[in-house]
Amino acid sequence: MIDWITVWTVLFVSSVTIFAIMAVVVTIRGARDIKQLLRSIEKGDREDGQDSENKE
Amino acid sequence: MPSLETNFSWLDWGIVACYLLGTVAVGLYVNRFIRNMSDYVVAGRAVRTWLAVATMTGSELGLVTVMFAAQKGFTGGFSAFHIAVVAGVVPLVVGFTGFIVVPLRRLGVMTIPQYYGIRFGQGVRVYGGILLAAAGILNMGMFLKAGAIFVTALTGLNEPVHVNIVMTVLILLVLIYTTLGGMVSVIITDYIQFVVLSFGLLLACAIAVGQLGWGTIVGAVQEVHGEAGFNPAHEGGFGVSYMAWMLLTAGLVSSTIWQTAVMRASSVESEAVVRSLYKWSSVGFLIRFLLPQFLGICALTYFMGHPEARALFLATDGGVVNNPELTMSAFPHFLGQILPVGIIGIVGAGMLAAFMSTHDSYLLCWASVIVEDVVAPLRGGKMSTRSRLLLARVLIVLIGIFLLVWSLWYPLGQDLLDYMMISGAIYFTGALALLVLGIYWKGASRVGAYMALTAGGLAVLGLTPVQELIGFERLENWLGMELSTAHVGLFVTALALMLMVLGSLLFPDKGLPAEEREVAS
Repeated sequence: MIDWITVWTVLFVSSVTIFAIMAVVVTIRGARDIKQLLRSIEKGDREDGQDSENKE
Repeated sequence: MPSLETNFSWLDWGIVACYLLGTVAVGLYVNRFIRNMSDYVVAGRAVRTWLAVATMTGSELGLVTVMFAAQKGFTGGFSAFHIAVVAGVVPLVVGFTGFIVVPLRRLGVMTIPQYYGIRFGQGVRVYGGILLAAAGILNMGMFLKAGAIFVTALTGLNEPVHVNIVMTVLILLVLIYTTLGGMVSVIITDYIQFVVLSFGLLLACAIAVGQLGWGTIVGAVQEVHGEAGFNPAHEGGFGVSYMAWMLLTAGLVSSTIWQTAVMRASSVESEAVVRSLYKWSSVGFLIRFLLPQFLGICALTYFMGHPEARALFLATDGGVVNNPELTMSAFPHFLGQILPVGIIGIVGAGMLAAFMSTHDSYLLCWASVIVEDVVAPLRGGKMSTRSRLLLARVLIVLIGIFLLVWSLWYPLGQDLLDYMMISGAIYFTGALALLVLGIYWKGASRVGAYMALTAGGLAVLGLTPVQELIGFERLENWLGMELSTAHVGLFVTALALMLMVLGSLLFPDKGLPAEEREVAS
């Protein structure tokens, strides 16, 4: 017979631990990605602008 | 609404106000980056892995998710954890196999009906788009009520009229915010929300365990639910059919078929990032159920020791009362009583941000589907970017008005999670057949697609008010068994798959649609 209390206890403790570590990593590296995203969109706009100027 | 005490103070109101103003300011700031529909809907497809993980988790870990998951923990005990397990394991498998999402990303589609158009032709795209938007809007019909119940219970606004006022204020905030920024602002606020909500929920769990003690929590579940509170297969609790339904909905559909998840996959910069995104997000998918479910169990434990609350939430036979709107309020009442001043404001602000984030993701998603998959194809694709953006913003406002009316009018009648899964099934049962068979079976045809999509409409039979309206009991009496939401959902899913196969075999496509020839070449 499955010891459900142990199963759920182990699941809860291990998941919370992994998530806590992941939250720290994602918080730090996600902030860097935001800067990169805004830079990339802005760069894309500039290139679009240049393209349309060339076409004209 | 029960009248229970709360620690929520003026300081907490101040924290919430500052937080919400800050997020609106972000929306205004990033508005200057929006130049075309691709920027608006999928952030120019320039999102990298870590930000994608934060936004995927942030978007899916919304206030509504937290509310319905906590409700399941409250009403089902530890057995509810099986939902968290399938919600985490399935995206992990998807991350390794690339099942459905990688072929979709390869095609570069922004919406699922766009795929229908490529694979089955424009007619299926428009039909699928209408069904998707209708089911999606219906699916978020209870979001506003859940958000308002959370706010009023947490803050101690106990008059019934307060729920309606809060709903109106919330939808106005969401509409202003969403129409301004599109996907770029959604992604950034999802990130902020991920940070606040992740650490807020972890802190709440730590405080709850510290105050109640693990042994007391286990004992409370044992006393209220017995064996069914631990064993999910126990027929006195969830049962095997419900577990299968959750494997399909909380597992497969939430991560691969549901439009908002597919939009996230479409936003990332490469197929490799799609795979990484799903592997990492599997932890988030698991946690978005697990932590709130646990807090729901803690709420049950806490209120068992308080006679006034016990009388509200527990029936005379010792079980949980069968009142979905009441059991939904148990979790925010619990937070309002255990969290200290200041912390409660931060967690409340995080939850409200989560509410806004989920709303803006969904509003943006359904408006985009109507513009890109219904209106634009019907007009032969002749719509300027400016017209598309304008129409999307008008639709967002119209959907917002509908949501307010629906929340005021519709009697829930079942657990919020069950309402959401079955209303979503109107769309996803057909979508599952079209995506799985369309991608992995060359014989799938247009007629089969129409039949499968149409079959999905039968899922409305799983909604409690619909069952009461048509006298569903007669069918149950005739069959000699009780039909749950899970039974209806599984039946409709199987039916859609069968009709897709049958229709395709009987009416195969004579030639590929022009769009597919284009893709194939």
